Amino acid sequence: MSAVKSTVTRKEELLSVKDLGIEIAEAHKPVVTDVGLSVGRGEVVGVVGESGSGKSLTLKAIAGLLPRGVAVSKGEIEVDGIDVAQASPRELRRLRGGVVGMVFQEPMTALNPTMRIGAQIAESVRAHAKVSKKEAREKALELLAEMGFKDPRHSAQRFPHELSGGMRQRVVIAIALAGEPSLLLCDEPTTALDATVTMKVLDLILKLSAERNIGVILVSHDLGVAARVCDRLVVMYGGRMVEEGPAEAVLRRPRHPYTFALLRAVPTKDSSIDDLRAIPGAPPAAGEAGPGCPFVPRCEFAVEACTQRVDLVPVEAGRRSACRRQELFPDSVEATDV
Amino acid sequence: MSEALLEVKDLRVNFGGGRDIFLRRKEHFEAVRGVDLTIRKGESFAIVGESGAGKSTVAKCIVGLQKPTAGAVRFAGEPLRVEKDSAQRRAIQMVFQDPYGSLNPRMTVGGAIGELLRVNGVVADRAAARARTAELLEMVGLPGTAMKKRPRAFSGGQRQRIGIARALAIDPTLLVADEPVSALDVSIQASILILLKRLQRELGLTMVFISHDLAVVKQLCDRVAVMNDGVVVEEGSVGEVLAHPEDPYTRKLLDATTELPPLETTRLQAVGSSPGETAG
Repeated sequence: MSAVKSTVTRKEELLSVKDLGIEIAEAHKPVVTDVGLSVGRGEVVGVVGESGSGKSLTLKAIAGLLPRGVAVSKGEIEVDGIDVAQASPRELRRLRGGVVGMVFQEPMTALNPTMRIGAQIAESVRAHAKVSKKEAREKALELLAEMGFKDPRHSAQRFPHELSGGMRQRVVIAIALAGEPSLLLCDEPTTALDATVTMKVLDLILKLSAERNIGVILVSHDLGVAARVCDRLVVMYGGRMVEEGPAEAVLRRPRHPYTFALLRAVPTKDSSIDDLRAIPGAPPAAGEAGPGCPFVPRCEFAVEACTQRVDLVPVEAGRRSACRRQELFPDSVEATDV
Repeated sequence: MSEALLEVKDLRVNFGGGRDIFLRRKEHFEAVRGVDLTIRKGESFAIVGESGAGKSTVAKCIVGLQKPTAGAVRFAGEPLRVEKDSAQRRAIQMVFQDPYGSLNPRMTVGGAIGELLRVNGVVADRAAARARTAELLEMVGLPGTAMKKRPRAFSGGQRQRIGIARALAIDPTLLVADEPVSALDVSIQASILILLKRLQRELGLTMVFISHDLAVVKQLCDRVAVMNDGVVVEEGSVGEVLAHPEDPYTRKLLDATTELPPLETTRLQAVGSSPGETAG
């Protein structure tokens, strides 16, 4: 990537999204507005938010997989030198799988139920590299072993329905990695899985990002999941980024009232019901957020000015927030004293 | 120690058996393999486990939606037989994960709850039904105008409030809630948890709460039974089980439970007007 980022120095940049806008094409209703994010090698970036926040659409736009009727209206998405919004179908095909691997929520729908899993992985290997069938099969076994399958030869002969949810998701990850992508996009990869299985899949994603030195975007509605694996967090609400920064800092010292409210609404094993705070009201419907901060109707700190356009601005080293009322938040110096 | 309201003894449920379409003998699947539980009057009891653990099957046996293969369920000292005993049927009510499935889409909320009240002889006439329905809706944090609307007009959280109002309409003694917040967004989930806690405190309900999430259970329940593979692997007070898990499976589940670094925004918390439970 040629452009040097003006923000902080970071590892080699794989993905750069700038001013991204996505809209429902016919109605010209914006569903994602002004999203800008970047991912470097070996970095795990979490995009968190509730349903309707625009997090999944952002991810789909990066993969060039927006559903029919929804289109990028503004901005640029550059993955490994390819501008996704302008790419030809041929370039997009090279991009998907070859540069960007994808893992979705429901592993069963991502797999072919009539094909043995070894063959499915091998097929993906051959889609991206000129290798013989035998080599592809060998590569599939290697991938299964890397995914933690104890007996790859035996597992390769299984059909998807013979596997548990966690094993299926490992197969999907193996397929996503078959084309040796440098960026792995995961859309709620553990939402359909049990808690203990979730932990194993998250550990696997962490291991892959470190060992293969690939970038990972993890979209999740679950802050606990994001907290476990992400280096950086992007918090989305109503189609906009409201806050961004190092995961630990964002979770400890949120700089946007939405993040703050969300954190007080999550039950944890240490919290008690009397500390739990619900967020009044409901999130805006897709495309219904006004020009100002989308959280205004539910925000206990909102003032008149908040209904006007707000931008995501740097608030401290490596952190950006889209809240005007930064005076509410303790600055980093004060916070370290707490 | 208060008296037992519900006793489950050596409960077993097998699925399968019989023959498939090729007349091959199908294997039995033992979903519940000998579960003993005692739920005391007024307490909030959680059954926790992952998919396939058998927790929902136990819940279904308690409300009479599933016939046990073996074992006994006793409610208030009597054998449970909801199909014959309408008093028992009224006394035990259920809140489902997806409230939309338990509401008639073609009836207004007022119509559905009103019918329930009249059929069960809780109220004498339509006017009384309306008054009681309004009271129930208020209790779960919904405006009286909700009565005139149909289920599809509501958000997920509001629907769950209606599901709770419906379950409470005929004054049950025991409320069985099967994953009531699992399908909801985080911000909405908290409001339903706070509502359930308030109802517990105000109405003195006995509650069986089925969940896969120990963090959620921590907020609502006094005691917990951890199920794995059809059996209860550990049982005790929620505080004790979370602080000192004995069973390796409980420890694994606890390790996988949501943990966040503590908030350090003390100043924000002081400024915030801290709204408690609100409709969502």
